[in-house]
Amino acid sequence: MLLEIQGLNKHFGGLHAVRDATFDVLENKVTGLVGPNGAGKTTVFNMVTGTFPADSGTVVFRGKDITGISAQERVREGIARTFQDVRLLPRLTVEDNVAVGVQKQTGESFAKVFFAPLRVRGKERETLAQAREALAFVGIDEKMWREPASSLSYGEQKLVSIARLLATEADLLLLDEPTSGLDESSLDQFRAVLARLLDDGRTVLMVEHNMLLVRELCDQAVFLATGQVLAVDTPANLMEKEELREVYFGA
Amino acid sequence: MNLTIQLLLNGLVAGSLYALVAVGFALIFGATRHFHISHAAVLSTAGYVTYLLTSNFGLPPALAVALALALAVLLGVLLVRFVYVPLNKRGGEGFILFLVSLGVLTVLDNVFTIGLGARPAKPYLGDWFHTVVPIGPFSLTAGQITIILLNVALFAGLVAAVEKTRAGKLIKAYSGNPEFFQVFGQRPMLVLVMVYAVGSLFAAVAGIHLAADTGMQPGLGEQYFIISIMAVFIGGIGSLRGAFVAAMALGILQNLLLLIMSAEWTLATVFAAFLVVMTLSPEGLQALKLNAPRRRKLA
Amino acid sequence: MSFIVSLITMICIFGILSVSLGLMTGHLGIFSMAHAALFGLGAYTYAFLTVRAEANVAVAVIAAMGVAALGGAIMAIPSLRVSGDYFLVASFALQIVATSLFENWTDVTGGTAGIPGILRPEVGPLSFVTDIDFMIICLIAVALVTLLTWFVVRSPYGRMLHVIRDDETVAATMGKPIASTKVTVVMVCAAFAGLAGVLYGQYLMYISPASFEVHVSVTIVTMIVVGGMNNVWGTLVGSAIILLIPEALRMMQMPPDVAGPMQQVFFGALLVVLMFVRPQGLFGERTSSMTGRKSTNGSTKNDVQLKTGEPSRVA
Repeated sequence: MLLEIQGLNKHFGGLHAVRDATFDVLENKVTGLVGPNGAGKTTVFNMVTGTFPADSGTVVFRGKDITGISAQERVREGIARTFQDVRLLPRLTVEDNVAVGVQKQTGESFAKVFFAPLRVRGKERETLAQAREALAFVGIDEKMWREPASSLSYGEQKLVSIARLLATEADLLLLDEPTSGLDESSLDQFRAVLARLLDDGRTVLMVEHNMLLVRELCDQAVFLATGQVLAVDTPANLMEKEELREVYFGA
Repeated sequence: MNLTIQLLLNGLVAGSLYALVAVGFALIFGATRHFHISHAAVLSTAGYVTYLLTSNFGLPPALAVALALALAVLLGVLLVRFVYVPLNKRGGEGFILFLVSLGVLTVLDNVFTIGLGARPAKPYLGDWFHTVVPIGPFSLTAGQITIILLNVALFAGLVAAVEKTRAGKLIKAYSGNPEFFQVFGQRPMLVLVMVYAVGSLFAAVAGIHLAADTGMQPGLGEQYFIISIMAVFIGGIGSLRGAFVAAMALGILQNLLLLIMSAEWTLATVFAAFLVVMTLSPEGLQALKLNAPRRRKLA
Repeated sequence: MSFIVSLITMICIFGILSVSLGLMTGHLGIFSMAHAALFGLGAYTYAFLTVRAEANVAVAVIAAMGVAALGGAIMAIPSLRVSGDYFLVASFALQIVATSLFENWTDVTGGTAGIPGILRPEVGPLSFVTDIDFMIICLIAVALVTLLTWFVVRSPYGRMLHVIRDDETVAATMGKPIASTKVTVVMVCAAFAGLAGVLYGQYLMYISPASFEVHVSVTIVTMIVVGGMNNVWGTLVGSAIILLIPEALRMMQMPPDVAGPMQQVFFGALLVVLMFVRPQGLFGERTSSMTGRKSTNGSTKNDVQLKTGEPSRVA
């Protein structure tokens, strides 16, 4: 198990958004987080990445309890995420957007920028090289690399955000609705990227609404409804269960 | 001991002024999250206008006060209706709304200075205002007692209105989720107008008292505003009760400090206290309340 | 001629103030109403040390920048735990408190009378006492500050600042050290403001509280807004423009006690008009932090505002 989630709880004011969530994410596999809207999937994501603190419960990554540590420290441990609404910086170039993900940049130290400008320049070349590698991995054409991110199509932007994730060199990748809004050809590109990610040894946890894609792409699925984990199983088994189907479509 | 009680009483007066401004701002800020810095201008405008109406136009005090209040409310409403909302529709948020508010404040502040110079503008509200009322061995003026009572009455009235009336429920719903509110067409403009009208009214009451008591001067509005803002943050953003309590506390603190330091240092000390509270407890006073999760309340 | 020298010197000094506020506000998104207070902290520290305490000039300059940086830290450090608006409040409060200190701490600051007798620097055989020589020092100073800022903005550090400015959640989940970056930038910009204060004191050879009041902070804000706060050269141009306006007004023969407030009315109106017509100023760019709109395809609210981790809206 790469990631163990135990008894996670989150309240927003009077709303108990996530209730005793418990499940494991298996190494080098794809785990889907499924369930109707408002079930708390993104909230679970936020607690895993440290964007929100959990009210109670634990998040254990590679045997280490990371429940209390900051988002930045978690990235260093090897957990990173994409966003449902992509969130690239529109005016930055594609490669700069991805370069943002690269960790431990010499150029991000104020002192080094002034006292070691040549070293910073050298390291920045490495950073950009890493960014470009990630872009090639997800299949973004070289011609687009120096373009502002806003000039890309939605599907391409989503791929760039995955490249940004790759640049962090995280082992656990959290993808928040990576396929929403994608047309068939972009979807094919995503499938290819996902396969390559697994070949590369990464682990994926993704929020996904399309149950057919879940069945196709996920090794296991965690079914969340009104903040509670109702079942953790292979997609095929989950889809057999009447109660779940009712919850999913009835909600 | 005598001095302490007198300072306490003076603190109630100062606290009342801060509370009026703070509660007004808390209402606006809690609902809109907009840093309406022109609130300070509403305060000073009300004071200056009262002065102009009584001195230059010779109107009777009651009429002057009523008109000044109406004008201040109008100012707040005009700002939201014709400046903030149109700008917001064009995509302006955050900086842009703040900067426009800052611009308005700068213009209003200086327009009065041009007209009246830097000398204090002190409207005459009647002899009763400065009559000293003995309270045992201590004393306050009638005007000061009035503002304390007005403050409590207005605050209680507002809290009751927000909890009980339909308008209040609209305000609470809006402040919880403005986008949702707009989608469901519950007339968000109405909520905004109400909130700015009431908030400006509160600030205006404080401004008129301040002008009549010590005279309105350039920079005075900002001084009261900044302490009131500190109260809003200490009390917990969006909480009317928190703002009220914190503002009264700061007013009393500022006056009690005179026991151990001269007047010039009280502001710096209050600021230091604010920094300490914010560092220790970012949610302000809210964090001291029960751990039971509660709905984000407006009041 | 001496009028032009004087004007250029002032443009340099206020240029340093503009460029430094621009770095903090335009590139990192931290809005401050206290830049005049930091300006004043530098000026008073230098004046006190050299005139009253007879300290060495170099030491006094460093101390002045240090005290100003400390002022920046006082605002920045507590604000790391609270939402964005808090810094604005803290800066506004610092500004008002600083003015109160300058006016009332008479033993140190001379109260409303200020501190006269500040000398222009003499470094070994080089003396910068004449107006023209002093102007050259100021030109060098503003050039250094501007180049430094420009260099930072274009470096990977600048890229990181822009991510923090435009989308703090992304910055956090990409591992950027947000808190230390904010404190560092605020302190550096404050130090620059302190340097401007030193030059100002040396230039006029006298300082008083009136030069460091809140309306001066508003003026500096107007400078960066007019020029474009997220463009380094824009902020410099903005300071020149705003300084030239009073000259234009002076030519209209306005009575002296009205001229000051009149200028302020003009600046205030300019701010309002600009927000409607061209909020990015002459050379700036409209960024998502200005419009509140998320980067690409995004929702309209930043979901993690409060550092306590709660979203600012229960949605």
